[in-house]
Amino acid sequence: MALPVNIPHAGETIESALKNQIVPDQEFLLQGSVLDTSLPVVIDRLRGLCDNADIPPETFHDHEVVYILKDFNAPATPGPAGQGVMLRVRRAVDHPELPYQLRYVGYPEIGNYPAVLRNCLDVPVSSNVCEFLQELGAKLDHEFMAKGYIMKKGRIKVTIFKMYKIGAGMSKDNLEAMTMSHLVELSVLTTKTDMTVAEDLRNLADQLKPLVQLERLDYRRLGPP
Amino acid sequence: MQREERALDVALDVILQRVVDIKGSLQELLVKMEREGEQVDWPSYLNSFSVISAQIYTLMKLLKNDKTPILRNFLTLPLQLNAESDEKLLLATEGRVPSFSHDFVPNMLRTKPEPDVEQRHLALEAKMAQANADTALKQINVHNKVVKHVMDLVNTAREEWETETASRTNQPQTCSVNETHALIAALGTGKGFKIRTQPPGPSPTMPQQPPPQITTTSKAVSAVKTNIKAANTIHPYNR
Repeated sequence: MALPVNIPHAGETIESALKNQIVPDQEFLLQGSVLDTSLPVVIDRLRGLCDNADIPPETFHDHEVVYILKDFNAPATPGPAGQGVMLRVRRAVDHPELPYQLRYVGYPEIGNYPAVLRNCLDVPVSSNVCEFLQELGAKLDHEFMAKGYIMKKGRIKVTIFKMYKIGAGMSKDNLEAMTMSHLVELSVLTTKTDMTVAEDLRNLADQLKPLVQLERLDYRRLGPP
Repeated sequence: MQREERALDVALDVILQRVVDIKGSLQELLVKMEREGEQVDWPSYLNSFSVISAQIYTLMKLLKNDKTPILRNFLTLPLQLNAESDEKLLLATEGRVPSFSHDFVPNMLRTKPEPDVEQRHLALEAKMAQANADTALKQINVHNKVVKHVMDLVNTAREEWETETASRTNQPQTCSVNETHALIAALGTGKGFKIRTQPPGPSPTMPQQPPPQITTTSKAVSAVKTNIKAANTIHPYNR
């Protein structure tokens, strides 16, 4: 005789998690930049503020390719609908054995939040993801290299990196830097119901003043793309 | 006379309040050190220190205030001692003094140093009286010289430090808003990375040959590079 055991379907579990808003798919983000000349000062200060101050910060060297998925035949319409969905594929150049990362980042939420709040999904994927995306109809939009440091303080992720253009006639060692600055990002993943962690983010940002002005910046309001 | 008494009462109340504040902050700091030790944020320690130093500063300012009566002009005279335990006293002193008795009062109301300190002080005074006036003068001069030297050292160090901090505040900028905006726009929209900028309107036929054999991204990237070259030959004016 079968016992009436109710085993929930995996889909149901995910659905209920989504309904109760406990999926950590929200990201709080503060951004700023530091001139290359002041980078060592910021790194030193961050090492003091973050966890694992006794070991040198971890470095990364990533290659990011951004695809756009939309109906390319439709007439261009202003607004988010006409811009399609950006899908970002990242691979670690210095660690080829690691899986690629597929990342979706939503538009910043409108409202009075202490930091940029946006939807964010990260999935580790296999290395043929680019082929897969192109089969889906996604088009390559742009790509770049990011080199820098990553640290953490509790749940907060701190990245300081420089972005490089990739183009014709540029080898891996000879990249053209985007600007004379490193971008500094503080981010933390959270759920729709847990907003308290944003305060920790702000506190850390305040400790970096006046070296780095970390702010809630919406890239869409920084002039036409 | 009455007015003076009232002023004294008010002043004592205020001073007491300040002292209680300082004590509270010190207790907080002690609790923090015991509970969290080296795990705690250093900025949080710094915060505690600055709070305590500000409280001590306000207390000192209060004591030096013209309106505060000079406390050393007042005497405290114990009129009656009582060996029985007094609950109110216990409460007021947070459990340290159980009764106003012969054991406690001499210590609590003492305005002179401890007896052994006093003895050592007397011994030193006697020694001073014995010393020859000439040698004493010589020693004082040597001492003054040493102190002056140390003062000079401290002053030069301070000057150096001040010029350094001044230069640090003059230090131009460590970050640039324009660069921040450029970087964030580049990250968000790819502005500046897009090498194939398409002119508005009907887009010309871009070379869309999907590279025949893409298996890995590294190959996909190399395919992209050929695309870029092709685009550049078509639109030489587009970067």
